[in-house]
Amino acid sequence: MSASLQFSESNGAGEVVTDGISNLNFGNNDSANIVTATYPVVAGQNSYEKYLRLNFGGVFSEITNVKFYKSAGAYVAGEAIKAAANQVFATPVATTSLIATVDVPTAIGSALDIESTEGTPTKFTSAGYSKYLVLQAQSTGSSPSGSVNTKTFTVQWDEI
Amino acid sequence: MSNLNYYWIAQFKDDKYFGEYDENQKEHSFAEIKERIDDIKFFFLINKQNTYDNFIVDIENGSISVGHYSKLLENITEKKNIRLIFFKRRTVEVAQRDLQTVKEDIYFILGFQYNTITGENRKLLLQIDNNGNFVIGE
Repeated sequence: MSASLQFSESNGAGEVVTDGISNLNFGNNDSANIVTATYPVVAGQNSYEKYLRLNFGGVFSEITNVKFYKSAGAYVAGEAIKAAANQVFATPVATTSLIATVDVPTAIGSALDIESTEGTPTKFTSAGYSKYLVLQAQSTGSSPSGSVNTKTFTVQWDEI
Repeated sequence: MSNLNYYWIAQFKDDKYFGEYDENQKEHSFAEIKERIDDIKFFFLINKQNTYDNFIVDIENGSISVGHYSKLLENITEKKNIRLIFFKRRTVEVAQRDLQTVKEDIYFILGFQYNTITGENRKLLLQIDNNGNFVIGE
């Protein structure tokens, strides 16, 4: 028996939820499944915030100790991805995020702890969403034009 | 989940068994034995392809056996209040551009927690990968 994992993204002022999104691309548009060529982030500007949730399904008894971090993908000059875990939804903005303010961790030891909505101590005892994970790509005027390196994100959890 | 190479069986103090799979191959959740976890005498983690490739936790005596005969840890210290530890630690790496899985790891964490006769709280754990390779630690 095992759990399954999908990412869910929320967009818009009224929160349009897209389950099972197909990418985590950042862009200058508040939408899920962004094509970066269509909605590029201009150097010196930020992407729209991404309000993500982990969506656990499948069969499991209990999931605990959920972690999230960026495990690969070098930044180009001036590029950063900011993050905040366990947030509530707000309309995504492209101004410098007041929510996602810390660099997304790059190792399991400093990974973000992702909480369920079931209370404390946090655990998932049935299929459902985590609290919101907010990400924003930021750049500076020194960032080169063109595509950045694709990133790899890692989710780790304990399951019985 | 079909890609897991191991399944578990619990043997209780009354010598009854309850496994992840019953005789009809129906899968059962570990949650179904959580209320009886203090009554477990032995806990087996068994390879689906080779039942001699197994890990056995002796909850009453505080030892772990690996394989058919070899005992990994004898009762080198007197233990009390021995409690089973078992869960799966899963790691999934996904690519930002398409959320396809780049790498997926699963480890079975198996062992027990106990108190020494002087009251210290200790754990003895095996981290076992899906191919049966393992490391031992506290």
